[in-house]
Amino acid sequence: MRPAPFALVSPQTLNEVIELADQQDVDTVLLAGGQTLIPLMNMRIVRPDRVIDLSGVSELSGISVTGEDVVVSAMTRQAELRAPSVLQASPLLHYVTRFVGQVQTRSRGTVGGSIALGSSVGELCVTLLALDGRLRVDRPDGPRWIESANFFIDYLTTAIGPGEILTEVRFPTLGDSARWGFSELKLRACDFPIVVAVAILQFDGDACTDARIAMGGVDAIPVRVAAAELELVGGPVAEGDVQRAAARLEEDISPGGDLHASADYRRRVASSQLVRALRMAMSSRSMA
Amino acid sequence: VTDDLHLDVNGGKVELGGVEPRTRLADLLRERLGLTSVHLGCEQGICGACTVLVDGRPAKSCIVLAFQVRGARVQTVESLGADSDLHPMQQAFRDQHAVQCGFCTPGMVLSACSLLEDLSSPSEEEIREAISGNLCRCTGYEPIVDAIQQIAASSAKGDA
Repeated sequence: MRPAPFALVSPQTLNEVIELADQQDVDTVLLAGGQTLIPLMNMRIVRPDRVIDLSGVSELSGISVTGEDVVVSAMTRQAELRAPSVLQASPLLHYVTRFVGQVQTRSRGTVGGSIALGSSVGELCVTLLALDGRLRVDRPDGPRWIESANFFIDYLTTAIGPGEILTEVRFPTLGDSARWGFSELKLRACDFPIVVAVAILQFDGDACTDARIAMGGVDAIPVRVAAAELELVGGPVAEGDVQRAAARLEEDISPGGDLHASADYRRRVASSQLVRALRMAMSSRSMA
Repeated sequence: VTDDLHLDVNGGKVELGGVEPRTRLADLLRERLGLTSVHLGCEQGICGACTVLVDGRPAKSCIVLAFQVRGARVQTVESLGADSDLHPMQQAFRDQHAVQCGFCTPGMVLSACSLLEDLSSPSEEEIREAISGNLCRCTGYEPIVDAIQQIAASSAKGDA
């Protein structure tokens, strides 16, 4: 099907967008790359009266690398995270991007669009949470910053408020002492993942000093799994520690069953994906 | 609401009036420009039969609105070759019998062409990844991968 008719607004500056987004009396959607929104409009699940097209706002595009972060403006296409500069600054972010949608959607889909959707199985959402990233949201009275830990609220619901717009996502870089791993299960490459796991381990010599593990597909939002993280901290990480961490997943996850996978299946897959992500982290010497 | 739209389609400048904002790129190409190699399968961005190149990158034209590609360069399979003068990728698909019903073929060919622009000799894994957004329901992936490998091998030898 085709989208229902709508009025199109094409602002050229962020200030215009902020002003337009603040007019909350009109049923409005912000259109980034459209790789989720347009299918929903084709199916007429979403039928806005007005669409604000962000593609003309050049100040919302681009990637820069600071000492601490890969700073990604919201309208940056996902494919751009495959750039050599991102590989150098954040091999984790560069690697994970390969799994976001497919090459045919990464060319259009945006980083901000994917994060603002807030899908539990969005690879970029799970990665941002594992990295303890930050997000900038703009509104008429100025910008505010949100920590990723406070960003995902409920199923497809984020801390972006009415009249606000996500403008920038900061993915912290990792030092040389960090190791990371990623694993996800998809039945087909073009499907949504069933479970996503991102593990980041910090080391001082052989001893793991900090573990940050984020998982998707195990709750309504991406979640950190604190009990599993604790199992990994305080010494070298061996296969036994990996298995003990996986055994404690249950304390932090509460998957629901749906068309794609039952709750019990998600639990079992969560365990195997965490093990794979941790093994990947431990098989790398210094991939950060 | 209508809008004038300028874009470059298959190497020619196109200027269209009266394009509704809700017009999808696929509909514009098929209905306004007669480019019926653009196949609509799922209409929700899954099957990839509507894949075209936008500024050289593959995109699913059923989930791109026409106004989003204002000023862009759009290519469909019609730009590649003629019946009597096939593009090397089309010839390779023919040589390897990589076409059964043909519905997925234009999207497959364009995804493959884009891959070989980036990587002149992709691995089988990279080929499979590049066409993972294109579904073939005749289950003909093996000859499709063979066809793309044929081109990759010949360009590695420097004769393609």
